[in-house]
Amino acid sequence: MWVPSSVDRLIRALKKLPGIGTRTAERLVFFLLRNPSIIQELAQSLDQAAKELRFCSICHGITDTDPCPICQDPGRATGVLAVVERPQDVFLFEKLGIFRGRYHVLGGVLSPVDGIGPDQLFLRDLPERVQREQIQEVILALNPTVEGDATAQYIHDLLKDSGVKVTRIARGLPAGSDISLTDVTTLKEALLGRSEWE
Amino acid sequence: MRIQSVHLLHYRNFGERSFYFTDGLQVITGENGVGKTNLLEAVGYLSLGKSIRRVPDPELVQWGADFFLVEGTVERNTGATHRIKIRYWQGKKEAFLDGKRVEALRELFQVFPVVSATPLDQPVVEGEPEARRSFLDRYLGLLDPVYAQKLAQYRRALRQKNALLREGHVETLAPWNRQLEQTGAYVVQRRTEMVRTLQEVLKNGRQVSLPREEVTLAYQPSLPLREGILDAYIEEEHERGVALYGPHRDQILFLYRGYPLEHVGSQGEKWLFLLTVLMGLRDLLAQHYGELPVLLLDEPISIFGESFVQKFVAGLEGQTLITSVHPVSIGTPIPI
Ligand SMILES: [Zn+2]
Repeated sequence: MWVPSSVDRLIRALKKLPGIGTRTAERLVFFLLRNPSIIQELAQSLDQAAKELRFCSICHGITDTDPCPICQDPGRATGVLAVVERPQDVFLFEKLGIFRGRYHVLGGVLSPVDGIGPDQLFLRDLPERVQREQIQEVILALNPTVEGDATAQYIHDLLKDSGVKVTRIARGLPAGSDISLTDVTTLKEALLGRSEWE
Repeated sequence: MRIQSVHLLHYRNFGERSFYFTDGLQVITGENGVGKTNLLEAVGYLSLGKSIRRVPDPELVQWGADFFLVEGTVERNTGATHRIKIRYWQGKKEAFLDGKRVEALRELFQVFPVVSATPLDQPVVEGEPEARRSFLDRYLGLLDPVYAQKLAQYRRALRQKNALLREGHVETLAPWNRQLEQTGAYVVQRRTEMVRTLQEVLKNGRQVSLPREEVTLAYQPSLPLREGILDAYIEEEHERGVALYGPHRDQILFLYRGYPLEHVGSQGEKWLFLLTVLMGLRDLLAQHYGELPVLLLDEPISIFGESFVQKFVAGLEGQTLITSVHPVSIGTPIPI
């Protein structure tokens, strides 16, 4: 069977994305062929993303400027810092629209069986950041799993001598749940009902 | 509580078979190899959603088939009946209660509790600590969903801690120790209560086989678990490369005439002890569910002898299912 090489290349590239198999990739390609304006739009945004997307050197979130707009915004210097697991958790909290502080993305949680210790996460720069940005409260917004809880414990111990207030939101969430799958109302309640570390 | 009927499709050696049961003692009979224990196991499967002999699900599928189905009707003392159906296909297990899919398998036990003993339970009476813990954990997890959750969390944190100890990275043990202390405290508390209640039931219940004053159960923690205590053992655990303290190392003592059963009991006495504990467990569950759980015993005659079974098992209240290679004059025969 003869397939134009540009079509073949596009199908193969799309198949590298999660959740996309051969059939879906083919369907997408033939859809795109009928809609050249979408090809243009996609090509431009992919090109831009490739050039500009990076991780913020301060909060380790995804951004197109470094530092990210949140780290640059003096209005977000409220003295409150939310510690989250993944970059996408930042967008989730932004969607809530009630959090006005800054973020610190860990890039995961402690998990020795997977070879993930404190050095594999953005943990070492956290105490320094708390001091530099005069943080009054660190909100731990980690998933309520065994690993999330141990990581929260580790951070609590790490910040014990800094005098900062450490709070947790996950208490109201069901154990083992995933923050990114929690509905907005539940997460809002969990954030508002956060409690200080006992 | 009783099982009325069981319908099997491609379960073990059964192509398609139905069996019907009545009250009291049911004796599953047949030559060796016809599948007596498989039928007993299938009844247990309807309660636990897994094999009472701890056989993995794929091995329960009949040779040449690609799925199995176990269905049964159980009747409560009120006369109400429930239909339980479990299907295993392509590595996936689905259970239905009265036609509605259940979220968690433990829901089956809540409508159809059983207690069982098979020759594979021997490590429990031989003093194998792990076997005794899992014997108790099995029933605790079925009685208390929080227990099942805390135990799973404890095991997960333990795996993480052991990974650190294996690598010698002890400087970050503390947060895992806190997790182990928090989840472990619940595990120890519930196990201690369960052992105490079981002891009470045994003391006040009907005498079953061994004189009850000679049977004692006790929970012996490996350390008094409380916040912060595990850090005191980091050095020792570092040296040994494995977590040495906590509920995964606690002991459940079976004392016979005041001494550890595994040292002083004869083979016969050990099995009688297990049967006594099982009877206590059955009474304890009866208090909880308001009905006597169905008792499943694999080959009790070859273990205890026919006269004992006649004298003791035949006279038990509630429904009891046993297997027997010998034809017996007691109970209702269920030929295969
Ligand atoms: Zn940033």
